[in-house]
Amino acid sequence: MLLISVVSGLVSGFVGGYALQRGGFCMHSAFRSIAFEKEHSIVRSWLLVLAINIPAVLLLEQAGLVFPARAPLTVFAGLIGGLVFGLGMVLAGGCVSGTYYRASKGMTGSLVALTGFVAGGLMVTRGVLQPVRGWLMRTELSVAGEEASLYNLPAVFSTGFFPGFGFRWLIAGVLVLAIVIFLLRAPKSRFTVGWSWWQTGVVVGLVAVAAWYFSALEYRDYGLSIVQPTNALAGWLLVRESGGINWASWFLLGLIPGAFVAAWRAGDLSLRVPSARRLMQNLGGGVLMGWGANLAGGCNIGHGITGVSTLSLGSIWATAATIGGVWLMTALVYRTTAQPQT
Amino acid sequence: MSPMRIRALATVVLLTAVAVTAAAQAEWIYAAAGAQYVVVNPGGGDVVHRGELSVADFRPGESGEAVATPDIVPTPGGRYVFFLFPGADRAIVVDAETHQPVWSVSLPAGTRRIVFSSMGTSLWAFTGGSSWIELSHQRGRLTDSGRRAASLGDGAVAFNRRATRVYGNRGNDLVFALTASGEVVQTVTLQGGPYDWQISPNFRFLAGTSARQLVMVDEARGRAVGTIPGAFAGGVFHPSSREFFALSADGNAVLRIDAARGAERSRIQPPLALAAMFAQADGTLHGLAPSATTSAGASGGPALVLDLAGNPRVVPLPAELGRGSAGGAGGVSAAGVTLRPGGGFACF
Repeated sequence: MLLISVVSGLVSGFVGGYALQRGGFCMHSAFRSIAFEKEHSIVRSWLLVLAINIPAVLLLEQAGLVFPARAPLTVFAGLIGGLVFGLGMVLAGGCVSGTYYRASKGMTGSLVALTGFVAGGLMVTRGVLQPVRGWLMRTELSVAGEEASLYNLPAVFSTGFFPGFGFRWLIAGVLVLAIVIFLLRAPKSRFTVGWSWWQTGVVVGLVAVAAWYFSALEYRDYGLSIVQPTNALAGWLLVRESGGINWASWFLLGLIPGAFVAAWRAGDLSLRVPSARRLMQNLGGGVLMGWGANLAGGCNIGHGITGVSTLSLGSIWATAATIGGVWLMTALVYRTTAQPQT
Repeated sequence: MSPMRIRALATVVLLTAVAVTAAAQAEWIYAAAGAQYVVVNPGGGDVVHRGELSVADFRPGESGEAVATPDIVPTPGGRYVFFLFPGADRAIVVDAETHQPVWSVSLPAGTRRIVFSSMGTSLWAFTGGSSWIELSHQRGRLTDSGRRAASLGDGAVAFNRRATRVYGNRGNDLVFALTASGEVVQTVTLQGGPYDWQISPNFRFLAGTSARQLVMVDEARGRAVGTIPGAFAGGVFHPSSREFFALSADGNAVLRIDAARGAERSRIQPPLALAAMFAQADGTLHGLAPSATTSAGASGGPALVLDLAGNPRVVPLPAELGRGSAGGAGGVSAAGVTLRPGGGFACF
């Protein structure tokens, strides 16, 4: 079983890393583009990933192969954590997965941001901010005591009513249909560097489905995630604590060489060192991302892809807060840089 | 050697090291009779620690009275193991890293059973009738004097993942109640209860065992998916949650049950009549036999039956446990303990 976990994790991670690099799949860019840009191809990739995963997770659940864990709706932890994570993404110059794949192609700023991300995470999980997280996570909303999910919302209006799979398919179907209609209206890209949005979306989407399946084989009822395996690997490296090592850890270890090979094949491999000021900004952004993701209980992948695919209200809430944080910091940066030089 | 090959070699070495470390599990079986306890390594069956349950402020049997066999209840993270002495209203806490008793905790008067919430933040004490007291718990210590909780009957209480729901008996039925208010949000109508309830590790299935039948409930759908007639004495979920191992009341059969369908897959014949079972994190099933009496006539004290479903092996427990005491299964109680340092699922 360990061999299956290690091999499938490394292979999925390699393919995932390759796809992220070739498709330039960065959710910081995606979230920013919604409000600040006319080009939405990465948003389309993300939505395609969701359109693949929402029904796939439901199908795996109905088949009894996966019993998805849904992120709790911790109101304040999700809001504050998501906002801080979004602010940090702008300063770090990328989302968590984006930071991993950019570091793999020699971008020193991303490597520094990644270091900050790990340090920030340790502050929350093992350090001075641990009580803050405990306090913020106290306020949790549930749907009649059940894990909060869009699927369970009817129970709010009718105590004791929990929808069967027919109702779940109806909700999932409406959402997927809406996404598909939006995607079909996408303009044709004339100047594509690397993979197109749909190629990236399909490959990342299939890797995310594989994550659910292979994780379930080792009794981990969750899909792709970055924060938990980052913490687990940091825990193992620092204090030889192996309790959190699982499929997601192998995925993360496979992602780095996958992204490296993709960059190498595309001739995009080079050591890039920004200014000291920019490096400090990356470091600060990384620390904020570590704080935010660990307070919110997940990042752009754990919440933004995996959690949203389960229609967890906690993940939708945290992702919305992250988008808010990205917009806020982007607006601040634009405003600052738009000031006339005196 | 080229730099590329050196990098590849270093990666292989790192991955192998992580794999080897990840494979190592800290798992133990704790067994007790009276104030004596032993810790057994389920892998090899060797006793790694033996000692007496005694701390400065609580020494069971100190004044010469018979010591009842304690119930063994590990915390969800496995770091601490509570030994509850019924009648004494106290539990001795053992640190599962050192296997040493570290302190005792005071429990509400008349406590007969204790149950931890799934995240270990609460300890529920059953004091008889339908009275449950909820106490705050942190790292092996109780941090308040407790408050009366919802009436949930005499069956074992189970919690969902976030401990926002609690499950228990109301007559024959299974009720889903809100932990905070006790308000019942769902009732699953059943026959043949009341049941002893266990929730699967992924919090999806509830297995109820009684003297008349076994029932499997799908928590997400709020309905029973299958029943199996017969007298049962509890059981244990496979760590995958996909299977439940049910122990027949006479201890002579273990039913392997498909959790999603509530149907029997196969039946295991243990070499000794069992009183309890435990599952390791990798799914290996072990049992506790109160008496090592076999059909061949050999007899002895209590024993463990390791790897029940694969290649069963009888490992006699030390003689001091064989002398036993009142209560428990044949005067002995046992529980499996898995230490999960940093293995929490708080972050995705």
